[in-house]
Amino acid sequence: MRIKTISLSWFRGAADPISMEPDCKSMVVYGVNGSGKSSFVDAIEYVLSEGRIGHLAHEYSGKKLENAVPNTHKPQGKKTTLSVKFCDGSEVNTEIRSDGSTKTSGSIGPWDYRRTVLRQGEVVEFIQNTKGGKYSALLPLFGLQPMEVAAENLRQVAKNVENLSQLEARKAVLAQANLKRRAAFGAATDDQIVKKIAVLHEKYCSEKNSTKDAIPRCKESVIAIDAKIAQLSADQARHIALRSVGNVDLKSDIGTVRATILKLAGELDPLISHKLAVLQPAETLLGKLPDEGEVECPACGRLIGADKFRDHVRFELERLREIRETFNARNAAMGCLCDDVKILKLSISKPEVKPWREEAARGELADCLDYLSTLNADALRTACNEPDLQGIEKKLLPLIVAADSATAEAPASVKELLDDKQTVEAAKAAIESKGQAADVARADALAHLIRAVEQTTREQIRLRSNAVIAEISEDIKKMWSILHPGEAIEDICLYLPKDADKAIDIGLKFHGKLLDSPRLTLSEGYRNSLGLCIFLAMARREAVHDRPVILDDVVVSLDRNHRGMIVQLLGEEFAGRQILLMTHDRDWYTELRQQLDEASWTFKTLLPYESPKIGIRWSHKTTTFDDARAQMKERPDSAGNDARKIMDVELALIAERLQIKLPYLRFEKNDRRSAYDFLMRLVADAKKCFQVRTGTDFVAHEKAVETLSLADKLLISWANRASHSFDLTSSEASKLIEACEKAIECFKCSTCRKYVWFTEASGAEWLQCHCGEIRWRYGKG
Amino acid sequence: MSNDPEWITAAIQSASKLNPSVPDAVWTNVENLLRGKFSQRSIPPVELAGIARQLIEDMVPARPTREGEK
Repeated sequence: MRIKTISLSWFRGAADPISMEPDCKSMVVYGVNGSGKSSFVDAIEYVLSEGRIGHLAHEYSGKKLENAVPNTHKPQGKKTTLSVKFCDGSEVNTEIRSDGSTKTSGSIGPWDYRRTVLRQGEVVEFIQNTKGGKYSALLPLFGLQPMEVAAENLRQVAKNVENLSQLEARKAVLAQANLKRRAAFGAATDDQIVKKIAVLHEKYCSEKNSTKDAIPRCKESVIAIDAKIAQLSADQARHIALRSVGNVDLKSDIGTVRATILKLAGELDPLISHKLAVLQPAETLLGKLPDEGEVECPACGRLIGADKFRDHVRFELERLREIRETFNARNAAMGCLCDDVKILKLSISKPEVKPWREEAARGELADCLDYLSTLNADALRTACNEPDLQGIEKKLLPLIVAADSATAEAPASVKELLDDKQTVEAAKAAIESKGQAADVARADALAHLIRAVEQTTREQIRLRSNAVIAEISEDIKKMWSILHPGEAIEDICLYLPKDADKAIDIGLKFHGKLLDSPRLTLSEGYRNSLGLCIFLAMARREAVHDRPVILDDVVVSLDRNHRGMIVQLLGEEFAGRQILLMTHDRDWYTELRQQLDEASWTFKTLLPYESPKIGIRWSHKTTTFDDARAQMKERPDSAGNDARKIMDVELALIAERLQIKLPYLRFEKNDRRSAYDFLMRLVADAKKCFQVRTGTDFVAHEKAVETLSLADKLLISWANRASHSFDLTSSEASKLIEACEKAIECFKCSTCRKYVWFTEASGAEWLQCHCGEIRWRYGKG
Repeated sequence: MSNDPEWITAAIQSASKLNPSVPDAVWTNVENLLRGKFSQRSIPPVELAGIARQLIEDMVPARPTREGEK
């Protein structure tokens, strides 16, 4: 599916409708910076990305790019529109309203922008990106993005399961409950506890046969025991109340709180020093973030992109899971202590304990009672330090011991009643916590199994990425070897680093040494060349779909030799594809115009941009002399100078085509010949070698010789003045440009419009245009 | 290359073998997370919480009905 035309109206740099018309062929578009080449590429991105243009998405462009997409000087009543027509007859037409909303008809189909368009900025961005950034950029191109999305969704669901089930907090509470169960029943099994409940239920509720379930039996038993207690004498009731004071296990609570505080401190100290060590470099790191695409995480030392920082922090939180569990256990222990102190307060304030309390207040326990009355039990739930624990130990444990001793005098029947009540209550708590434990175990299992499936998904991603990477790497190597033959940078490949998830990097062999990243050694030009190879390897994977490949100024940092190889690469690897190639490199454009086959390539040049109201304009010529012409009025010397520079390149290429022999110059001077050198030689050779047909005979092409001689004359006199004395007038510049343009044009046939080197004529050493009207005998100059 | 069903089925089957007590409804929901619309977009927080809640409920084994008890 090839592009026939891209038409813009008041879109980006365009004013009144302008069309780029590759007409299903490949195309090279030349234009100086700002002439509007990228507006056509923007249009393709706009259509492919549903109204988004990556390089325009910033804080000033508006949510729907309404400030960036329409021409800034669009007159009232004019519409911003773009239209892309394809060679199969389909088309997409979009009108962009002033608020950025669009009205679109037609569809471009499932094209992938990243596999269709490559811009200079994107090459640099990709190569300089982090491993994670490269992974994010390439994964969609591997077709694995849905799997990555699914894996991330699973991870988030697992986290939600943990949070909603309050897994960590409930695990801490269960641990506490288990401690109490062991204290009450030792190693007794659930069945043994249930049997105990049955026996006690039979003892106190023999007349009831309502239920066989343990919990209701516990409740019924407690009610029955409480009823018996209510009937006891005042003295017996005092024993009961004191027993509940004596049963408060503050000693064990204090021990647990102390142990968990100690454990937490043990884990906290290194954590604090670790975090402090993190914070200091992090402060420096934050200042650097906007300027660097990749930073070293101060916590673990891995390189990471700013955009991935949040994910990384989440990962670090996972690593802190253990300490968070200790933290929760400490909080649960403080909660138990708080609850027991409250029970102690409540029990001691009961009216039946009043005589014992009054007697105690007169003795050594007076301080203890005062301490208990002023103690804020609730505060212990959130903050409890060693002095608090020592205070509780010193002041409250004696109260409990005294109450416990007082109950020793209680009658056996009361003791039995109390023991039974205590057993029933502990059994109830144990059975209830069993239900809780089942809930927690289910949530835990659920979170684990979701994470296991996430892990399997990630393994699949890795497996498939490796397969695609192996395939692409072969293409990258091949393309690199075309662009950089015989150079000591080899074995270029994409790879998945073993030490990181969600990461892709580029490995290579540099002068025989394996390196993990091109950024360690490669120059900017080489990195960009590498980025181009990777893009083209990805684009090649879509060859079956015959989609165009659009390259927007991607060879800026390549030198002439490597730039020249791109033609070979495109010819060998993309012969059947439509390529739209934008460049502001005039010399390269001239080379391409001379080297690429006109049967499958079109060449167009844009005029330098004048104003938004005039918009983007095509030059009517395929040469680049309009660049020079644009400066004629304001800077005629620059115009003359430009004409000479254009001739330097044009004539060098023509001389090569016509195999013009030039005297050898020493060293690199051979590569720095100017238009004067070539023109002098061409004029001399043309007299003998350039012929035009008249009837059935060929005669010397005198008109061409005259045209070349005039250009030679004007270049020597006026172009030199333009370069050195800067006093060329506008009319002189105009004549110079016209003479140069005609000199190039004289190699083109006026009948078939093909150059004289279009094909070899029958018989040796003759080149001719398509129709044979003009010919050149090479090698005879 | 897409989320073809083969590996998903295999992944769910191998995970369910390791967790035989997990009800089928849970596996169905987890499998759905790997297919169709859920693999096309990041699920928003509210929807994530809803899915997690449903999975927690599905983990509770079905109580026998009165008919079953009889």
